[in-house]
Amino acid sequence: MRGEGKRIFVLGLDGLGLSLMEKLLAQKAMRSVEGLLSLGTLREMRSVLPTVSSVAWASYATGVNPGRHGIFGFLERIPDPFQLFIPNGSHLRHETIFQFLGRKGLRVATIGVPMTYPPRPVKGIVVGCFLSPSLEKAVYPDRILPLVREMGYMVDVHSWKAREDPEGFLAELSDSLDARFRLSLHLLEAEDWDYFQLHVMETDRINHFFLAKWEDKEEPWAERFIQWYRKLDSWIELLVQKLVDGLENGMTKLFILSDHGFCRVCGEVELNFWLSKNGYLRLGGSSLASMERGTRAYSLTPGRIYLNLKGRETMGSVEEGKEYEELRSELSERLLSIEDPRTGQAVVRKVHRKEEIYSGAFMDLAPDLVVEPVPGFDMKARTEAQSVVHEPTITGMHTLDDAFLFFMPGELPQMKFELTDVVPGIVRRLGLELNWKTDGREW
Amino acid sequence: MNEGFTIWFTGLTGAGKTTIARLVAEELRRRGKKVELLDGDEVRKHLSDGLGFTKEDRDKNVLRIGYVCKLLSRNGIVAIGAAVSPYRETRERLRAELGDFVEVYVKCPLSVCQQRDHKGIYRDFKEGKISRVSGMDDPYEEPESPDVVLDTAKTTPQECVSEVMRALEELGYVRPEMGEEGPYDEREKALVEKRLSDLGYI
Repeated sequence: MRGEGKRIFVLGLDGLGLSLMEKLLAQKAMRSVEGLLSLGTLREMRSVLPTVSSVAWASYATGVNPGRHGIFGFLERIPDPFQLFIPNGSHLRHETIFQFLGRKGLRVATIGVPMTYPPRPVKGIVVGCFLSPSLEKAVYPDRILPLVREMGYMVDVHSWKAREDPEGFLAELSDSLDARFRLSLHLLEAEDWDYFQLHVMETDRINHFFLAKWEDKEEPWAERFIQWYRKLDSWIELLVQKLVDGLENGMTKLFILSDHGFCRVCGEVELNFWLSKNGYLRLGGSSLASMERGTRAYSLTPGRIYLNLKGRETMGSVEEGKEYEELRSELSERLLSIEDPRTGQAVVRKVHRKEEIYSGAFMDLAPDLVVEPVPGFDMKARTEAQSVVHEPTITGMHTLDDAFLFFMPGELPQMKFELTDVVPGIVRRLGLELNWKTDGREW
Repeated sequence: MNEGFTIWFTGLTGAGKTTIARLVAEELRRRGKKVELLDGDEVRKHLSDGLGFTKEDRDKNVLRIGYVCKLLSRNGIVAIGAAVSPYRETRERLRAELGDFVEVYVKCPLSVCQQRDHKGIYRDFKEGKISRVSGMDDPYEEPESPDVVLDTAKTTPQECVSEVMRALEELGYVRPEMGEEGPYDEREKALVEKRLSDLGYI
């Protein structure tokens, strides 16, 4: 049951917002993409809360919301005894499209897709995401390690370099992009595959550090930024050339998508500092592990607020029921009133109660409140901050809206897509039926 | 998610189905799975007493084992069927009816099976005491696209178990085992934390 020759290629462009892509198209920096767009359908897509890649791609791969897949951020906590850890693919609690297709006998290749470390064995190939500590531990099966090394593949670039050696950082971003595509184009031809997903992480990285410089026309960086996107465009052109026969006869479907948008940062908002200042958080030291009795709430990046609930947290102080609800209401109201002291501008767009945005078996892991920022205000949770709102340390941040989905050949329905809508459409185009009900819409 | 599924071992008598099925059952139990092994010969004594070796009777036996596997696997148990099950069409029917079905072809040249002959079946056939032996006067139809092929003439039972477990992991039925450290040792954890911290993600 090999899908009768039907194939799916998914190109993930992490953090390439629709509006940024449109601006790049207008500047003629993405001519190949411009040509492609006329051959398929493009729709705006909404990301997830909190808007980070681990949550977004977990939602994509499972077609379900975080309450069902259990990934809520790059940092997670065990409430009792209190402990912080980095969730990875082994914490993803729902079956993914990759596993599903493997079970159906289809061959799957995924390159760099977030939350694929540790690589879970599939019939095919996995090169794990940037949460992989090394190439050796990132690949499955072992036989592809020499090839991945030979291609110069990097698990991630060194982002700190962007601050100290921007030119070197851009060179590394180019090398990393080249290696990712070189490897993928090789595997496209050398391996037998039914579903191939190539993830470009470098788009996110360049936007974090160079989007604002490009918007400000700060040279030489603005030109470098455009040059880098031209390079990406050239690789996409080569990729499509490899897929062209299948795309023309309709046996191959191409999906290109981003998981969130991007905007420049006006200020970083320190929620743990705000909670401390307002008497909700009491720290005995410099980390959340030093939380003391009397703490009523604490935060994890970005915008996740946990109440110090009795019976759940180590030194829980908030009673379940009335006190919990009243505190959630009080915090929601007060958080909405946080302003940027420099301008008086509100920094919080909305505060969501967890049950308003999530549902499922892992609601107990979900933050009690999720702060949705006004775009431009990046929610942080440093415990050693000195002010509620301060100048940004990184100039680009993720946005909830403004992701996109492109599909060819064929039509996408007229709707604003959610990340969970993609997988149902992919599976249907392979002539298969998922063995779980997604949170997405059928199309 | 229901953790039940069926592993079906097919192959000639003496190919090693029961031996490997028992070892796979042991390995799955060690990994915390509930497992039930339905061996063709054993089942004949209970569920299929009185059935012979005509095509019709063989099919009945196989379908009965398959039915029990279905009941077990839908209740979260890994059901392992080990039977010659010589007819392709019948095995395909099982796959269609059971859904979560992993077919393991235990492949072994007839000459090697005859040498092994632990049950004396080939000897009895040669001496004319029995007939309708798969591979001799009755057909054995090889699977066209099994999930796993084990060549028991060339590989050890333990290697065969590893191959089956790898396939179960690839098919998503079994989670791969982590080392004691889990995904990260201390150095790796610090490296990944720095990576995320440099991006302001944690």
